[in-house]
Amino acid sequence: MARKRFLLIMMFISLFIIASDSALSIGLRTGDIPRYIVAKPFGEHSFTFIADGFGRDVRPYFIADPDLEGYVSLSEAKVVGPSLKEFTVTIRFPENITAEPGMREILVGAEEMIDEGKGIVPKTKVQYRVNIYILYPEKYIDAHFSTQNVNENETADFGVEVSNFGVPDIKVLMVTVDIFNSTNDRIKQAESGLHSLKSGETDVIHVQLDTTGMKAGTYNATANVYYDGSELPLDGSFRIGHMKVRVVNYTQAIFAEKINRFDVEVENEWNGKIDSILADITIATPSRNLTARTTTESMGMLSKMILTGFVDADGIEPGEYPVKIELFYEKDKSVHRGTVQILKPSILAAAGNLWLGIGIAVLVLIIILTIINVIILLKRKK
Amino acid sequence: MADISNKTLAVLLVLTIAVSLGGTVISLGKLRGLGTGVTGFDVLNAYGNISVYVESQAAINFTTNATNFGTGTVHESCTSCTMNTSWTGGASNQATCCVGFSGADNGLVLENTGNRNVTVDLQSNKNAAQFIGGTNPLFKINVTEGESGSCDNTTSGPGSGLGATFNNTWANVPTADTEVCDRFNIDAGNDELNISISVTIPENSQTGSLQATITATATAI
Repeated sequence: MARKRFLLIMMFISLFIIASDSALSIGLRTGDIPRYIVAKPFGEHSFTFIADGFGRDVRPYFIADPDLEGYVSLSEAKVVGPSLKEFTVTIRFPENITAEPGMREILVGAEEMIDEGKGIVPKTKVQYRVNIYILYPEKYIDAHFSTQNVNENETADFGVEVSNFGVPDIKVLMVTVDIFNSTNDRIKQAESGLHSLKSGETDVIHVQLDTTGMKAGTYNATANVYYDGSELPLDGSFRIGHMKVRVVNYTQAIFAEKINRFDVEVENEWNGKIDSILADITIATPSRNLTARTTTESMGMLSKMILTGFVDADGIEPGEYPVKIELFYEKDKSVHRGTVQILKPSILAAAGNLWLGIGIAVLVLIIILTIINVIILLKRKK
Repeated sequence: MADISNKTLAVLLVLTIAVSLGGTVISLGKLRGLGTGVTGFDVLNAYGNISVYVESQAAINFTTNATNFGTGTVHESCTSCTMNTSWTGGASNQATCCVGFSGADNGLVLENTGNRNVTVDLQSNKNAAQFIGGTNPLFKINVTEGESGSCDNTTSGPGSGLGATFNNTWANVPTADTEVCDRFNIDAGNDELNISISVTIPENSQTGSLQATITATATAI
């Protein structure tokens, strides 16, 4: 009885799960924020933001770790338009920066102010990340190695971006680059000159590598960054290219009794632009050779493209025939051989010719009718 | 005034056609010669500086934000009532155990309306026990791409960057900021996330108007 009464009560209890039905959006505008800020004694950086609540009130905020909080301040928000608030975040570093070293972040954002109401209420917040690098008290660098693909016998320009994230300046900075072949034997070495790098600064150290005598292919490279008696190795790889364009794919089947589009997909393996490239296509059939020349194009380095020509297969028996594709580029030439299927004329191809015929017939009819009209007019008596 | 003869008319007709055709041919020839198109301005000798500065704007919008399950009770023969807003289905005993609730067709739809890609975190201010109460209540979400390609992975490029916990999977609503999309794109046509909601209301749940806030936080990247 008690159970039944409980259920009866439950049946009349209402549960509301209703969400808000008003627009819920937020935007935050700002100018450029650098990738990171290096924390230096007495350094000061300000960033201005405009928050848009799209009709709702917004509240600016920032979030920072406790040891960074003391460096950050938020200005009074200024109303600059309907539901628009402008505010500035200022980061001031003291003489003695005691925050934990490394890359740190401060989140600066705005949230919309909503009435919690009933049900499941969605709400929006938007924020930007301001990265701060707190310098290490000892010597400390961060470095990135970038290589360059070159052609045979060219000089490669390698770069190592070095950032001094330590408080002390680096007095002697040098980079060597060792080149290894596929069996991991060191075959060449190049080095930079001597450099120095102040605390908190970033520089790119260039190393030139003369590839004379090195064959085309992919090589491993290790850059060693030497800084005031310490060393940091960085790995990379690069490619020495050669002027070669190869056929990747081509039209495998065409139709007899019509002019066919013939595509040749080619790949430029040369690490440079090719100003002029075309292909000659020759399909050897028992009755005659079908030939076509594609348009002349230019190709970007290490890229692919399609060259298009048109082959007239009128009067050719269907079957499989050998095809020769000759590529002409700059002063070089390469040849690709394969086969092509010549198929019986398709219904679609026949339909194409039919429509062309109808078009011509209609045109002739219009001309004849015009002439007849003129003649009738001339012969008609007053 | 004397009538014009048919012969004269025929000559005039032929002349008109000839002038019309000739004019068309000459006009087309001249247009081709212009090369840069028809314009009243000497574009070859015009110089100017255009300076444009585009501000960065991170912005999101709940384009669909009404999730209305209505008002109701748990059927006397059931211990709980489970409903969800998923377009793709999910556990539900709405037909047999939910009395009076109208059911909701749609969940929340979040759109990136700014010009910056963002990461998206979700957080609820209440868990199931705090929101619904009773014995074994459930309050879950399920996140999917509303438009294909809306959420990428910043480390491995295009592809689903949806957080594994909620990627087309029902999981308890997070009560701390939890990433649900690694890179929410700005491209029109690829900038929508669907957030489906599921609730299980036990027979001894809290009663009256229940409230929870789900906050979507967009962080510019």
